[in-house]
Amino acid sequence: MKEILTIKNLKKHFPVKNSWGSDIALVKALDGVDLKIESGKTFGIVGESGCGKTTLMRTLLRLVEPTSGSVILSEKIIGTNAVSNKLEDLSSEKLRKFRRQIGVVFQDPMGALNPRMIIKDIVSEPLVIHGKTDKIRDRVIELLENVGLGEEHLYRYPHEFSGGQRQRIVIARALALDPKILVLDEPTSALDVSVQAQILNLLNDLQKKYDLTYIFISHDLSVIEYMCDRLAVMYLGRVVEEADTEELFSNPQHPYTKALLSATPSFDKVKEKIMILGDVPSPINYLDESKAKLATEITEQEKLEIKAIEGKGIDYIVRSSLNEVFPLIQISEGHYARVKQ
Amino acid sequence: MLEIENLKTNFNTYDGVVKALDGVNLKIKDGEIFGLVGETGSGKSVTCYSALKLLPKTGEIVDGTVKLNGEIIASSDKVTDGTNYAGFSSRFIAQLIDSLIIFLFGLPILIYEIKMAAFTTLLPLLSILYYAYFESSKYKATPGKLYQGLFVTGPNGRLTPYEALIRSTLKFLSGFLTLGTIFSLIYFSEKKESLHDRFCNSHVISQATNDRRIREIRGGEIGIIFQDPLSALNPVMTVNEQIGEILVLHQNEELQKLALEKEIPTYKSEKWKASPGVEFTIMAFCISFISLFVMLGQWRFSLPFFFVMLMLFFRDYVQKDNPASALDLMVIDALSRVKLPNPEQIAHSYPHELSGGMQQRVMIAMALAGKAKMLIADEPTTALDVTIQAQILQLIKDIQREENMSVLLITHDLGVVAETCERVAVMYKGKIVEEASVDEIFKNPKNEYTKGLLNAIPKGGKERLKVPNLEEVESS
Repeated sequence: MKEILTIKNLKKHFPVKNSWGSDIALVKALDGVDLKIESGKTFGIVGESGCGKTTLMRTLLRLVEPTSGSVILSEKIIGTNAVSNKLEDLSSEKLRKFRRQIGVVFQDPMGALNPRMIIKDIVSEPLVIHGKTDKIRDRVIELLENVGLGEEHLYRYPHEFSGGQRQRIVIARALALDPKILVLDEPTSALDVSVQAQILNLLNDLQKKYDLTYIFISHDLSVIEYMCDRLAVMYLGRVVEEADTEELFSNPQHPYTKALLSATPSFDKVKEKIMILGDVPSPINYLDESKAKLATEITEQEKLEIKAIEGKGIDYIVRSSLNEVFPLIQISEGHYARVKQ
Repeated sequence: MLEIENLKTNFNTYDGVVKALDGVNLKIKDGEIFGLVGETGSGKSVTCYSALKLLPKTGEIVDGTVKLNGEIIASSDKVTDGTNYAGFSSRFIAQLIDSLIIFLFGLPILIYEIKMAAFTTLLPLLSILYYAYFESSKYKATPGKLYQGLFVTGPNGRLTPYEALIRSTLKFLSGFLTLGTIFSLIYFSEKKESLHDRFCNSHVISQATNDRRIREIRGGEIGIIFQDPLSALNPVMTVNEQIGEILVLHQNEELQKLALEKEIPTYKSEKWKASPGVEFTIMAFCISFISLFVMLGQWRFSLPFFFVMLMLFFRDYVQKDNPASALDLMVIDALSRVKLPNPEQIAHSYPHELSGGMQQRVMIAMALAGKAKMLIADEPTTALDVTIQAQILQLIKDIQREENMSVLLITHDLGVVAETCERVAVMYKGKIVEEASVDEIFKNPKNEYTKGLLNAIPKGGKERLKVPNLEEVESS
């Protein structure tokens, strides 16, 4: 398999400043991410809000400069006679050309479309910016027909469309510059199930037609399972598990993946429930050690009696105030999941 | 528990009438979790808003009734305003009486509400004496002879004491009436409950009692959890204040009882806390009057306003010393019921300081604070992550089992319904197309639309998803 993008030890740390302007902590949004994204396949990224999915997407487009690490681009994107194949070495002119290769579809279609522009202007805007202005009207109509809309929609405003149609317009705009990669940031989370099915079918059709590579970000595991070939689970800025979709769903390794899979609402009621207790620990790492304890304070566990036991993949047994006993799995420091048979 | 019969709700728009609900029938039994599923615009939320009379002004219930334990709480609201008094409608007369009452008793009512005894008794007395003193001093009375001026007839060119007293009283009363009107207008516009609710007996009074009853039900017998916790919670009030408001409104007797048992102060004057705008407007008026009198060179007349402002300041200092009131204890109790870690700390934080899951837990605590027998959850987990969603659903299930209350869960996620509910109704175009137990609806759906909806969910395989064919649904 040919990789279209290779991400190597990518890090992005945002400083937290106090009122005097000196750094007191680091938000480790990305903390060493290694990924290989294959050409022509769909790569899924799953994780809770705040785990760094969006930061990863932004660093891939170099909208945010990474702290360290590199993104290696394949020949398919950058061409054969390039000086360097690293994203961070691109000059501003090259970067402009590179960004044509990646299209982005955002979560909320109404927020992504300018309410005061007609559809023709919205879809042709990337073409105008990148100077591909000949036969622009025909190109826009072609793009709209690709996503199941037509010429009659050219002169309408975004508010005249339904949620599904708006998402189609966003997809048409993302495809305007013939990208090789399409980044889909929760493309169906604002939609109903039946409309979601339409959009997912459309995305599959487009992938076959144009040989696109998808980077699919979502927290809906049923959609991820349907769409993706390979999958990475992110937790606190790190990739905790990466595998082919079937393998990951049948045999999850990391406790967080197990908890995530078991948390998804499903129709069969008899399955082992792994319930995560409390929230994910804060990604803020204090430089001062005394404050660090505050950040990773165990909250719900304080009331409970914790005992460590060995083996069975279970780290603790917890006795609650009602004298119920249930096993705990440690996900990270100060973050636990409860196993319920 | 909750019974909805043939409910029809219309929205009047410029483009015509939108029939949002078209004959909805629902029965929710005691102690069950009932799911209401449907797509955007199918009328799920409108059903619950009509039941609680929370519809916007364009919406109206055309037909049908909603019963809670056999008591009608919402029905078609056609106004039956037939009664006339000498050619005037009862509503007009009610408003007339309203304005008269405000004009005459505005300030006393205001003062009664504020419960400042010193203000009510001392201030008029002081002011009358004050004005009398200056009235007589205008005509060369010496300060030391105030006593004389009041009771002894002076020489020529001087005002008689009775005259001075009458003049000053009249002056005071005119000021009193105008100020009272202004204050009370501001006050009652903020309370949003007009006086004719209390004083008039026509259809208005039945309307008013009905309104008061539905207010008791909302947040009292029926608790509501909204979709987006951050927009449902007030960003400028702490969790403590927001839950406290509900406790004062719906559980005042419990509060008093707790205060008596443990010998702790009941609560800080919550009436004031609930409407900080009144305080602010009074302050603004005081400041403006003070500056007005100072500009006119009559700074003495501004002294009463200084007095009011001082009282407002000192009220805060006097009351801040209560360390833990009965209200605080009850709020902490309510927060620990929804299994929030360290509730004491969370009670003093603002909504934006909490994570999404914690905010939703606070919302649930608020919904339960009024001793709810029924919980309406309007898409409680749509804005949350999967793992947090699992936590919140588990919490709702636990609380339902502990308190044995009934839950109406409105959602568009069929998976959520399968996990939590016992019975489920599917809505489409303002109608309930299918109602069955959860097991039955997933194994053996009867309606075409339900089948289509179930087929549209991705289920592991890679085959093409089936989109529900709406024409087929319509024809069946």
